[in-house]
Amino acid sequence: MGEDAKGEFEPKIIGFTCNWCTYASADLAGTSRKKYPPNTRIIRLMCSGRLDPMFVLKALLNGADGVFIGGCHPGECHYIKGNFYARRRIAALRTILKEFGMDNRVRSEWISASEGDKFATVMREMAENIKKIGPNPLRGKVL
Amino acid sequence: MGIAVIGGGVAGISAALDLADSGYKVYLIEKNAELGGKMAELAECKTGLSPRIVKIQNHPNIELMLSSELEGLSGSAGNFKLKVSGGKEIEVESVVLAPGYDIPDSVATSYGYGSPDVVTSLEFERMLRAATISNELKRQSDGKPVKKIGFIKCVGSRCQDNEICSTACCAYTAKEVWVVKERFPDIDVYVFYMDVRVFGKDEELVADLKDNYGVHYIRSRVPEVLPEGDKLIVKYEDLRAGKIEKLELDMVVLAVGLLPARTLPRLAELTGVKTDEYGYIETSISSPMETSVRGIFACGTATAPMKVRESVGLASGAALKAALMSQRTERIPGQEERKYIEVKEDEPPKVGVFICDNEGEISKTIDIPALAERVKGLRDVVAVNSANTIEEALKALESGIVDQGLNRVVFAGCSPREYEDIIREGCAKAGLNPYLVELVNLREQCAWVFDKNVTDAAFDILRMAVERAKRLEPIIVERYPVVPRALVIGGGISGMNAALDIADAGYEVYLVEKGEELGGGLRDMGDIAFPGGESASKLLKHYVDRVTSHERIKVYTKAREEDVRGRAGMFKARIVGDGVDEEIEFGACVIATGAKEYVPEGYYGYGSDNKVCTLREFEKSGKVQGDTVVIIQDVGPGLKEGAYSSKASNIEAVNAALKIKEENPGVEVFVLYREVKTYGKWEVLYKRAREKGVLFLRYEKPPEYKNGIISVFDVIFNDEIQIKPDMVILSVPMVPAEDNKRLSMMFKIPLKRGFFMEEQERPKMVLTPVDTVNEGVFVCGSAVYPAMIDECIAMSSAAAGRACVLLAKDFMETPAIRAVVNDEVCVGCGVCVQICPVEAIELTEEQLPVVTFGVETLVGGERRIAKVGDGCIGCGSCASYCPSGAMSLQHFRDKQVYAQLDYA
Repeated sequence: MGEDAKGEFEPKIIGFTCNWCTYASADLAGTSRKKYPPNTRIIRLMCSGRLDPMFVLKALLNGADGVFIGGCHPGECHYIKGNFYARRRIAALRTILKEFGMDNRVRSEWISASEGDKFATVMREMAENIKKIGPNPLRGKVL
Repeated sequence: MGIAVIGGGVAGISAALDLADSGYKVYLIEKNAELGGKMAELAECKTGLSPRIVKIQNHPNIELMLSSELEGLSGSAGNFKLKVSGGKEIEVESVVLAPGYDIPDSVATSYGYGSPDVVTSLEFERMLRAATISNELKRQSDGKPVKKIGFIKCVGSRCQDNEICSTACCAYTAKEVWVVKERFPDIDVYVFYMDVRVFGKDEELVADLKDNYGVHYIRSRVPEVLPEGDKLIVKYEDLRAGKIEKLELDMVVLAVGLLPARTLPRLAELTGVKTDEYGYIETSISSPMETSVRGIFACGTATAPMKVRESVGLASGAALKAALMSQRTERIPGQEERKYIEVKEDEPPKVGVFICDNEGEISKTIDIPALAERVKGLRDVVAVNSANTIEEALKALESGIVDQGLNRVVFAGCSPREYEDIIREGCAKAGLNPYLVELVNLREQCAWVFDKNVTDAAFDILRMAVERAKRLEPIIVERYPVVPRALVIGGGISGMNAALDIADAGYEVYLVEKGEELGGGLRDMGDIAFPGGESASKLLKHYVDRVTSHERIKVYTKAREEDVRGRAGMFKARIVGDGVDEEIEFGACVIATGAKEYVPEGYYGYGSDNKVCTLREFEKSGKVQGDTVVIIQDVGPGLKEGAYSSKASNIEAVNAALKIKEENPGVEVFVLYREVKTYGKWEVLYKRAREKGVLFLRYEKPPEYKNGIISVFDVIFNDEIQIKPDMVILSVPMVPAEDNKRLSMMFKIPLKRGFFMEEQERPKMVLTPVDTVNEGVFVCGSAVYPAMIDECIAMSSAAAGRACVLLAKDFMETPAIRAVVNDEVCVGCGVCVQICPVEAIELTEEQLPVVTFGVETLVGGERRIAKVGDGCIGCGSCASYCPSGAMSLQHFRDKQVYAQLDYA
């Protein structure tokens, strides 16, 4: 996305959502016409347990300014405990991301299918927050 | 012949689909020009119902007769002749009536109805839909934004004209309030009510509204609403202060009651079915779908006022009963073997992009022609099509595959959660493997939400989808035969009824009960009877006799099921019990574990004071002690302590009070309550009990029982009352069966508050009340939440009906999205085995050949590799944990996700 017509920084955010809760909450945000900025590109996974930490690293290396990970509330996973795995892995990933100062670009949230408003709010907050942090320093660099 | 379903609302749609999906010819007769009935008028619900409507329109076994009405019926069960308007005549073996409901024509003028700012709940649904789009809830009179809104419940119900409770209003009001607060958090919401009669999830919603959304629930029957200037003045009684209060509101919503459909009297006359004193089709507690005419069944709000969940349940049950009287004549869709065009790995992708405008919904914010133009420029895109409706888009898609030889498809429109199956089916029909399709959510997650640059964003999303599509691989699913047998867990009323229904449909049933005998909760209910129903003991005998003598039901008592494996259509398990250890195979399973009374140890001296007993203990003995009986409702843990309020306890308490008073007119009977939840026709019990002289005292602070005296602060008298009881009956919540936890793990169905969770299609809407996330496993009765006996029977028939839809199939397909192992890369570390949440992966040992001069010899030792079994549910946890990259999830392979990341 880069810059918009006025030259303002428009962050690019990758959103990984599980099919059953957070993707559904994004649908509900739509049905409820909850507006949020067009910065997030959603990638649908069946379960947050499918989230390979490499996906997050790859997104950041590709120059994404932020990464969002959404799953079902603990205990409500469609696949019993996939979200616990995701939580564990994100925690581990953070220790690495902190080293590179990328920790603040990754956010994970548990959003259930009935929390459309929460989804939209998180999307708005993330866009604003990343705008403050500024562009991903890796953007445009060949590694 | 076939089956006629009359009424195309949610109940009729559900019944028609269940029947058509199990191979019956269905004539669906709807008086309006469109399907959907009342549900399609609700603000949120049309989106959820639409996929079912599309399915009906495309179903080969359904003959849709819109704008048609029944004009005559002759013949009898097995051979009815129906005359339908327009001169059509059809012959059917059975009939399902689902005419739905209507709301009262007129509302008492005292509510200010007529003022543009006083609307009925149905009118409000339309306003809500418009408000959602415009993002503003405005008054109809002057267009000013609404700041304070009031909901008045029980308008046109629980009154002289309509003495029963309309059941649905409490829950639908809660839903409307929730929508208002979610969309417009700054609006002040007031709800005026007499009792809040909500159960299960709705009970949680109301608690949430009160505690977290700041909604004011005020208990008062509102006598009048007066328009004054540009305000509406609501008068209500403040019970605590004991005076009439006034509140100024901008808008008032009247939660109007439900009445039998206006078409129902004529329908009853034509078909000969009896109606009850309230105008509903007469059914009984023990056969809630059967009408007075053999071969004619009823479901939904034609039999009593009810919510969508129960309507859909009754519809599945009625469909099953109707099917029992009919011959299967049609093919079940999706059972034929499919041949797909071969798409080789190295074949260059030819991507077709199909954009569906959803009847103008998307083009409001996205410039579709410009988008299409840009997409045309993407590499490997050979065709771009934009259509107005999903039907047109599907046609274009099919011809694109057939005529242009597309080997990848990107379909952009509304959420794939709704239309995924239909679009994949469309591709399969045209000969393209259905997993070479990528679906793009252009409506819910783009057009409706983005606040700027929407067309640019849409192009980005499409570019990602095109790149992902190019890397999709055909997935070949295997077909396996369905085992035509069912397992029913739990031998209470629900389990027995489900077993009987499935067995009557021609399938063998294993019925497993952990206790010593069949009967479950019925055994604790003694001779108790409900108006118009048989006594519990008679019902018990009737059911046990039928179950034990049924040639297709095999009963296991003191037994339990273990070691459940497999998937829908081919489950395996062991039945272990008293001298039994048997391996069984079954295609479908119904869980009906029921609930039992909470033991109120320590409450009101229970256990030490012999005057105190629980409701079920009283029902079992049937003995009344002394001259003063006090029934205390809502004893023990409540919602905050993890329990649900129980339909059964609430209604049985009032029923018991009435019974005591009727049989012993000299005995004083007090009922101390928080809410009287006699929903629907049970309201009559409450009314009759009051007429007979049962005294109802409402408390907020739990009553105290000391030195043989009960003191209660009655909030209506506003005074403390003391009673010296000879007998105290405690109405306690029903708690889930202990075994639920074990079953939940074994069948992979999540629990909530210890009860099984049904599958939810969309937030706050239940169109699949007995289905679970584990296909082929169904739940019913008090295993879902503590239900009344009539509901247990209805929902267990529904579960049986859904199970039979599955058992009717000859074949099922293995799931496409599942983990696969690359044998050559796997090092046998076993991480995946530990990770798998359903224990579907095992390590196998394989002899490792050594190749010498091109000849394999089996001497190289052994090597361990992972093997994914039938139980895989496709979460992909193993794929993301595999350290060697051997494990991947089909349709979500690394390269497919990376492609999306690279082109984001």
